[in-house]
Amino acid sequence: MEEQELEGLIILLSEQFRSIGREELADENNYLLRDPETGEARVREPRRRLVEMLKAFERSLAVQDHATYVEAIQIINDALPTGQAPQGALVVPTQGSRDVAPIDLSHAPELGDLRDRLLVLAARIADVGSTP
Amino acid sequence: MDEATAKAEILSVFATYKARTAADAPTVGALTKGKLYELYVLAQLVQDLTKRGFHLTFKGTSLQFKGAPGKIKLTDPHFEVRSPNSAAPDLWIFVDIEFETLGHFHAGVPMDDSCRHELDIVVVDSTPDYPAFANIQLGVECKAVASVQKHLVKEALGVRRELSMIHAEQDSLLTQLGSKVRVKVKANPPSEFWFAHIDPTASRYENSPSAFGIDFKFICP
Repeated sequence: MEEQELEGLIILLSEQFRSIGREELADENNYLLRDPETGEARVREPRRRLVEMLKAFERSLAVQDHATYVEAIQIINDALPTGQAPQGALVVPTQGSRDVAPIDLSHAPELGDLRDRLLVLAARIADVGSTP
Repeated sequence: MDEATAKAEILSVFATYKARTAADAPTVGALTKGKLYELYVLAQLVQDLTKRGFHLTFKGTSLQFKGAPGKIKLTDPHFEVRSPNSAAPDLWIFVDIEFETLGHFHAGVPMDDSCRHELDIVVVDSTPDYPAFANIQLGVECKAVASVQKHLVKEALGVRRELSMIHAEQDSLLTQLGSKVRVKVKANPPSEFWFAHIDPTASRYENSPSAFGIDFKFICP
């Protein structure tokens, strides 16, 4: 892919971030490269920036993924004496909030396949860049 | 891979994500605010303390995270912790707690909104409504952001400043209670302070804060 095509994909990805309310993932200040000697920052070249944006999205999905909930509860279960672990995890609304019902974190969506696809896509784009 | 294939894959991933999250906006809201990440870091803390020789029990039915931070309530679900050198529980773990700051005690200034700060997870040695800085044995800030920016590091430095004075390196409070793993911190009181994050590049910010006893922890599911 040419630089112009990579820039086009960055624009597309940024639009998609905004469409799900995650515009901070599109902020190019998140993908700066700092010169270790001068300390000066510059935006990464398009291929690297696109790869980093895809990986950042994967991490943001990791902290929404049902698998993360399951893993956390399992870790706690394993650390506590048998039968003493919590049965689940809730987020209780602030007093006076419009949200009235507790949010059950076990209802987090399954996102493992999407995370895998993002990492594969990032690797393939990075790989194309390393091809002579 | 060509541009068209990459574009199609990006659009497909987002379409699937939107389809899976559209029906439950409140849950997605809590997830994007980092509440699931708090649970994940809490699990790592529970595991870490167990490996260090502390004995934990859970009091309650389900864990409860709060939409906004507040005070300690023993009726809220929490963990009781028995130190290796203790015959009875002597520590407690709560989430989303405000503590009373060092500045408030040090200067004796009247209470205003600056006199309490939030920690996402605390290990405390007593359970007043609002623990004082000196009650915090270990505090955790959880940052579920894909890219840690410097303002978050400044924020953590501010919280650390309100927990402890800079000091010559000494055994942490948990180490003094018999932890199998010896932890030293450059702070007094020598509370441990975790800056938990999911950004593999955040370590570029860790050297100077480490001088104040801030421990950057890359904890990523």
